[in-house]
Amino acid sequence: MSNVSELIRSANPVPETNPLSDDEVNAVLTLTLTRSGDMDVKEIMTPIEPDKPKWSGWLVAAASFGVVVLVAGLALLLTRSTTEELPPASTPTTVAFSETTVAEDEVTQTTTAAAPTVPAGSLAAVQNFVAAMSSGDEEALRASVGPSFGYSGLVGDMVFNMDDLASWSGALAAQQSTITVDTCTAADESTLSCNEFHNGPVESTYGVPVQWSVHYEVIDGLVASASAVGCTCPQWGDVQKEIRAWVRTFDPEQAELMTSYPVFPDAAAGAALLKYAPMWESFEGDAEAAVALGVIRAYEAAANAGDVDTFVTLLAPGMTVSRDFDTNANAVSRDQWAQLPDRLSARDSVLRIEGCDPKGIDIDCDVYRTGPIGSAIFFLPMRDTQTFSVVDGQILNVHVVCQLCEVQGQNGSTIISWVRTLDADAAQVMNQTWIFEDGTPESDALWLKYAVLWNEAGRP
Amino acid sequence: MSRENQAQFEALYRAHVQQVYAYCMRRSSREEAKDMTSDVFLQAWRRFDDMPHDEGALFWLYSVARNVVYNHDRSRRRRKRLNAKAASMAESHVQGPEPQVVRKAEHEAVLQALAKLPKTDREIITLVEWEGLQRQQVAEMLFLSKSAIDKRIKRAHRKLAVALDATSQDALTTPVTAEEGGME
Repeated sequence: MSNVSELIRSANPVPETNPLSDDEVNAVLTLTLTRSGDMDVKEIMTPIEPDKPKWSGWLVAAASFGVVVLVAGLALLLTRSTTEELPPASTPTTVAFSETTVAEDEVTQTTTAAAPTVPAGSLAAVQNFVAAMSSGDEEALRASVGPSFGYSGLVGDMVFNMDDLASWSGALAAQQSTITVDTCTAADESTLSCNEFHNGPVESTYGVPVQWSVHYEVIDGLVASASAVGCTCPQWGDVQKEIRAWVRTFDPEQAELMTSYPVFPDAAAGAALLKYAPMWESFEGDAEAAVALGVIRAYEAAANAGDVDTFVTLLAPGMTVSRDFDTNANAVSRDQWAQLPDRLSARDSVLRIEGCDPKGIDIDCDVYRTGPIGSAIFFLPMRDTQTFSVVDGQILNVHVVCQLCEVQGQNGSTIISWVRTLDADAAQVMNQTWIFEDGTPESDALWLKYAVLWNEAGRP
Repeated sequence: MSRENQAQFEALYRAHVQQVYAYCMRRSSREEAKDMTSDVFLQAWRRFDDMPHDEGALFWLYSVARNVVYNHDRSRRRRKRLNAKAASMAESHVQGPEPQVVRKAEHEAVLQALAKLPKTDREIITLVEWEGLQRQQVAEMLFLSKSAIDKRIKRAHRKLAVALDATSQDALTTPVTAEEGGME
């Protein structure tokens, strides 16, 4: 097996340098520009030729623009009910979404029939509005709408005010959703009928592109009113309900935040969904893994609270810590690991455990330590990949794979050299104990002091 | 976006679309790869003013493509539509009967061995061997040092060599059936 590289290259699934034909290159460009919202309305309205390749997802959606899809579940999201259970598609009033299928020639007729002229700038006004919605920028949102703006939903003719919209916008930003105006047609001289896509880590858990049909009235370059008339979100409510139920088994507080619907989702709800929706997807709702996650969450919380007593109870007797750069001689002991809450506190750091992914009986997580030292050394939080083995409600092993060790090593050495010119004794202490787990309160304090100074001095 | 920027965007697109598409296709199916490619360039459109426009553009696009592929992969996994990554990669690109059965089996063994590597190591190896990036470029893309890349490649090669050696030993003792791709 002398030439592994050659074997890998020969197994390249796409050896050709130009796998896309010229037609396909142009088609993907058109698709991209259409989704960017930058093509003008006439361009967007050009019917898709029947012999063009049909792709899943976006192109199908693009080809069916103008088709109004009704779903009462959407309206529920927009409905200010006071009931506790909320999600759009989870109540008896919900009408299951059925994807309207329209023959392609019908679409063509619909979309090419004598479209009214839309005043210049209308599309830009709509794009400003949706960009502000997904950015969470309340000021920009308010600036993008007219003085008597209202947002209406289909069922019940409800109209929502700017405060509601601002709250929803905060949720979208917190859950990292982006809204893309996909296609717009002119409904009349001042109204655009637009299809939009909501994309992001949370939406991806719904399993389908979340598409909304919204009518926008634009007056004097501002959105005067908006009316949501439908959405392709068949599983939305059910999925949210499942996620909430799953999260409740190990983090009831966050689950409760998710139930802040149906008034209007806010930033806390968005953040909770962002935290757990992708995780639920990775774990496929595994109940046993949820228990392990609960242990990891408790571990994170105790570490950040400086609660050593609780923290220690989560470490199994005989617990081991292994690191990818360790030899057995310098592996970390359970007692050393038990100092983690104090170490974090001494360094003004916060532990953040994200992106957990099951790997057999273990759980891989991205573990960040945010704080001034990491910021100074990396311009980024310190980050490891840690594998937690949880047995009977306790952590039996943590395996640490350092993701930024090389950078840490280089910059750490530079900092120590620099400190040596200022305070040789301090540099000596830092040099002995600069690896996080091996530190002491004294070295922690020195690192906190000098890493920040080094950064402020322009990283000499 | 100004007309000038539009022209620049189109030039950027045409310069790199084949590489981005190939990257996505190596990690998914042909049809999904088109959607993913569009996703990548949509991000480029939105961040056109911020993204690098020199030789760093391609690496920036690859970085975006990594995230796009990752997100698609998660959705796909949840729906259980596809089996393990290696199987999907191998199956996605089979165009018809493969005359060189031995070679095909070898490719599948390599893909399966790759799939067993840690995610980051697999990404490094394929960026170097399939996308043809220099190790220094991969280091910058993944926020790792060049020496870390070197070490990871060395370690991954060692694992692959062991895995492939075991596979080839199996192949010597296990007859290949027609169903498995052997010739009748």
